[in-house]
Amino acid sequence: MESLLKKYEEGNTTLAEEKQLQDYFSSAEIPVHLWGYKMIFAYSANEKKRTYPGKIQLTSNKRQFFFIGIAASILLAIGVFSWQNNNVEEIPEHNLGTIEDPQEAYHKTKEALQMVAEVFNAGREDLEYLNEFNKTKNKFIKNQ
Amino acid sequence: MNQNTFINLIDPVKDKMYRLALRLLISKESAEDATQEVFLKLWNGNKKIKDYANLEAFAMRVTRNYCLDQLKAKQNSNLKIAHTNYESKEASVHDQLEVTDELELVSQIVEGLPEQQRIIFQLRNIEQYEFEEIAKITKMNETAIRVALSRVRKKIREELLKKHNYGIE
Repeated sequence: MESLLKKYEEGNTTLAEEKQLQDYFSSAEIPVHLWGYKMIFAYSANEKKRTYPGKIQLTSNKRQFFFIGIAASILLAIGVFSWQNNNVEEIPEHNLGTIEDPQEAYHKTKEALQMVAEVFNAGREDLEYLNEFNKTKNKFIKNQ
Repeated sequence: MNQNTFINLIDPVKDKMYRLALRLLISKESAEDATQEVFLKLWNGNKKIKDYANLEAFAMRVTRNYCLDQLKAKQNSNLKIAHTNYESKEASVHDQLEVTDELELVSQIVEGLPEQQRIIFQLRNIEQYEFEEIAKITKMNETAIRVALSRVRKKIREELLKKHNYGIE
């Protein structure tokens, strides 16, 4: 056995001899100094039990994803387009005809125009400074 | 060749392909994906396969090459292959001195080996291929394979004894 193990470590055993070793080391009583071999054989036997968990598929998943991608972008484009269309139609519907009473509408309009005028005048007040400037300028020009 | 014939031919090899991929890529998911990719590669190139008697060696060779390419690609992009199959990682941290699962110890040692040695170990120790077949799969000569195998077997046993002694002391 020892000589066989030496041959094994040198990589010179045949498959039949390795099978013999495998059988020996799967038996229960192994001398302590051979523990390392026992581990290697146990591990090898254990690893051989692993199986491929999937199914053999001969069509690529990548192509499927490609078509799913195209379909998704078409849907997205249609979605965005129709959403925008809806929005355009909604704006006039909501903003027109909100005030039914003509009197109230008149007041609201007046108020709005008043506001515009105030803002306008606020701008014009600043123009007074320009007039002041003009007066001074005219003085000089006339004096000369 | 139709799909069924191909599947029948490749079916006996599929587990071996998966195990080789797992040995190299370590992550179960990556190994499964790689195996699937290799099926596709073989199927798409099936008109070129002339020697059906050697389909197994060819399939194993393509698997090996594909996985090595994957590893190289990941290395280049500085990404490590994510693997989520360390089921007992926490446990092994806790009982580092007394490893309950001794096979896990072997597994760790094997994971630490260089790729070429892992391939040889996988093909001979686990799949029990003849040296002639291993030569076809790896394109190495038989002497080189024997030398590599010897190195692996000695290394694993040495490492095991080292770790085992730590456990006892």
